[in-house]
Amino acid sequence: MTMNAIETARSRPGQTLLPATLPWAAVIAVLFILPLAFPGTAMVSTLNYLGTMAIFALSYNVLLGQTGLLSLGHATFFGLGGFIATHALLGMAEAGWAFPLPLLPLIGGLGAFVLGIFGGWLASGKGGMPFAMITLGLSELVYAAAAIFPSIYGSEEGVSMDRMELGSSFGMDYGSATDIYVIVAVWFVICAAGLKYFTTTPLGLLANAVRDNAERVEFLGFSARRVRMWTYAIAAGVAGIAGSLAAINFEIITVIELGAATSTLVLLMTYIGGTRVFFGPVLGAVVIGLMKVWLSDLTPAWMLYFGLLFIFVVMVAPGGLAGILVGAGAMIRAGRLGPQLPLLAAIGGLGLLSLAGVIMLIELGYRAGLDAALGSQIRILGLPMDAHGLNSWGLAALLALGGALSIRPLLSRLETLQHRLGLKGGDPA
Amino acid sequence: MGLDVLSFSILNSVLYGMLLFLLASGLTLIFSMMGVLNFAHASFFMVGAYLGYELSKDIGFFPALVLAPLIVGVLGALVERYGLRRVHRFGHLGELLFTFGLAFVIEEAVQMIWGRSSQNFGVPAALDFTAFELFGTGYPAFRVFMLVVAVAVFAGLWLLLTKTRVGLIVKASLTHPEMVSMLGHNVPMVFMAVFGVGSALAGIAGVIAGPVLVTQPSMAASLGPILFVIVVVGGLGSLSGAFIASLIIGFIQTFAVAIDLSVRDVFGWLGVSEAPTFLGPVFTDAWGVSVAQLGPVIPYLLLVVMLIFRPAGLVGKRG
Repeated sequence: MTMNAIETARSRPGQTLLPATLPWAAVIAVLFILPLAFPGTAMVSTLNYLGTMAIFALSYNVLLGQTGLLSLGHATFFGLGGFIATHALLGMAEAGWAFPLPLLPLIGGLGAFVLGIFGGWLASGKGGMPFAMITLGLSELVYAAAAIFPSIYGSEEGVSMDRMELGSSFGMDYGSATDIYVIVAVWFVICAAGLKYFTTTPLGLLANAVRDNAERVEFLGFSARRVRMWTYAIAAGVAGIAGSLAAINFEIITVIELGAATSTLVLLMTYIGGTRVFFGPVLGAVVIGLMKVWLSDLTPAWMLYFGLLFIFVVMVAPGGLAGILVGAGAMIRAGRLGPQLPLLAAIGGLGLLSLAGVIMLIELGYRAGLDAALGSQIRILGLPMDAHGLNSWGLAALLALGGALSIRPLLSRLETLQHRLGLKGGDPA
Repeated sequence: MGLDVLSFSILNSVLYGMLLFLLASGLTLIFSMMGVLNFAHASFFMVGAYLGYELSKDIGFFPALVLAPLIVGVLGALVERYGLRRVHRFGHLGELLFTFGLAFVIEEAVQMIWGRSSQNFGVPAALDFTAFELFGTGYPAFRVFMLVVAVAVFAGLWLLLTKTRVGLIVKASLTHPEMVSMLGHNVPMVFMAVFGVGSALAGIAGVIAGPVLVTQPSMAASLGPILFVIVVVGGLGSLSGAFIASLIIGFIQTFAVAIDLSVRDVFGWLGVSEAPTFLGPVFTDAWGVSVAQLGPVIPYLLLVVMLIFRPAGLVGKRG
């Protein structure tokens, strides 16, 4: 039975087209090129952050995409992994042990894995809503406990460490961001390869089965609860590795890392990236991570954009960004993109106009409300605008509404065309 | 604890519990309808508080108490019509994530309009006096007013649901939508109305709670999880369960603040006065834990324990 399931999984379209090793060679090549293409400490630090979040999002997708479990407290294990690694480093430095820093995430990951077994045992009785609520409750418990145990979590400023205290190993002293990049990159490849392999194991396939129909899995004699528990623990372990890497990168870990905001962040990253394609969460982590790093300098509204992007993906493209790319790729290969191109370009153009209008509205809104003290004059997308001027608001509203309204007839035409081409409308994944 | 503190704590517990129920009842109705919890419910509560603040500056508190919930209700109905109904085809996860994203966006939008600091939403002058004195301490009239409003809304909702034809159709639509639809009723319209009314209830709670709790952008995020605790502990989809759980949480949270007791005191009665240092700093932390510190933790503990041992909740229908 299990063999059968594996055969089916391997014969999925898209996987047979490329040799299995090719994407991995590409991943490793990209990891080599990135620090050369983006030199400088700030850039490499950003890369380190993105790599950490990519691992975190991949671990979250073990739950959301693979097992169909919505966890509202995944950051608990990210944060606890970070705290475990930090305390391990501090303890070993004090005892004078020589422990190679790159192996520190192993300790954080193992610690989070063990805690994940316990958490999974508590949470895995049912999927769906009860699971989401238990994970929410557990994470709030751990978060609230932080105020009670300052010796573990530090007080409000968290627990800091010096990553160079463990001394040099592997020919690096870990002072520079590039050294940390090497650690993050290697752990990224290990975690991604491990999780990819996990999707082909019997447990990984059972996780898919539990997602699709837990009742039938139970009828076949498997314990859905046990499947949920172990996938939860594995996801927790990998999140712990990511948390340890974050602690090493920033040399500090605070309670915020295990709070609701971080849990929300990883959920948004994973879902926006796409839960049904293996590297989707990585794409989401990179896009959202970059938004967080760059957009937060450009505009006070970045969180709002981030939320609107999420709602857009939920409403229009539940396959996420990766789903869109994969769908487009499949259309190109089937030679069906050509006839749709003019319509798609028109929709895209109008969409951009509408987006520009929305951006103007939001930026004007911030200048009229929260940032009123900065004055009403503002340049938005290169245009000088006035938060108190009727013209500015009118133009913004016209673009936003006009674009959105004129898209609607085009969308129905696109659907008709797709039906004629024999493509199913809507969800590409 | 003296008799005065006890009686005031009981009053405040009932008040807080009723306020929570005002929110939990709407959330429960919406849950019965959609089958998923609405993460944005506490956000509608916050919007109600902010609108109440903004409108009461111009038209006074009492007109605002009527108008703000109406606006929130229309907002809720629009969200159902143009948001939730569209993501319905993607299943429960889609609906859940939509409300999750909506909560996120509403919090940001509120900050965009009103800023990040708290608003000076004060008790209206007409209700700013002492209602009665108990053991020499006054009880503010506004709190009595809050209690009256909450009970009145609750009574109105109960009468509407159990004694009228509208209530009959709503209840039937929640359990047997196809049948009701076949009998010629517009079920999607009923759902939109239920969502709107549920949001409006949250709006009322926001307007009356705004002056007492602080009107600030984090009020949704801090209350939202507590609401989930209530509807889950009470039993998903059960109004009476939500009522009991609201009062329980109200009592827990009020009394936790009022009780001045720590682990150190308990051991003090046993004759152990100093933390055993050989157990390390973690135990020194645990030594100083007080009931007031545990207060915020207890609801979540209750949630986890309840879901593990009695997943259907106190008055659960879905076993």
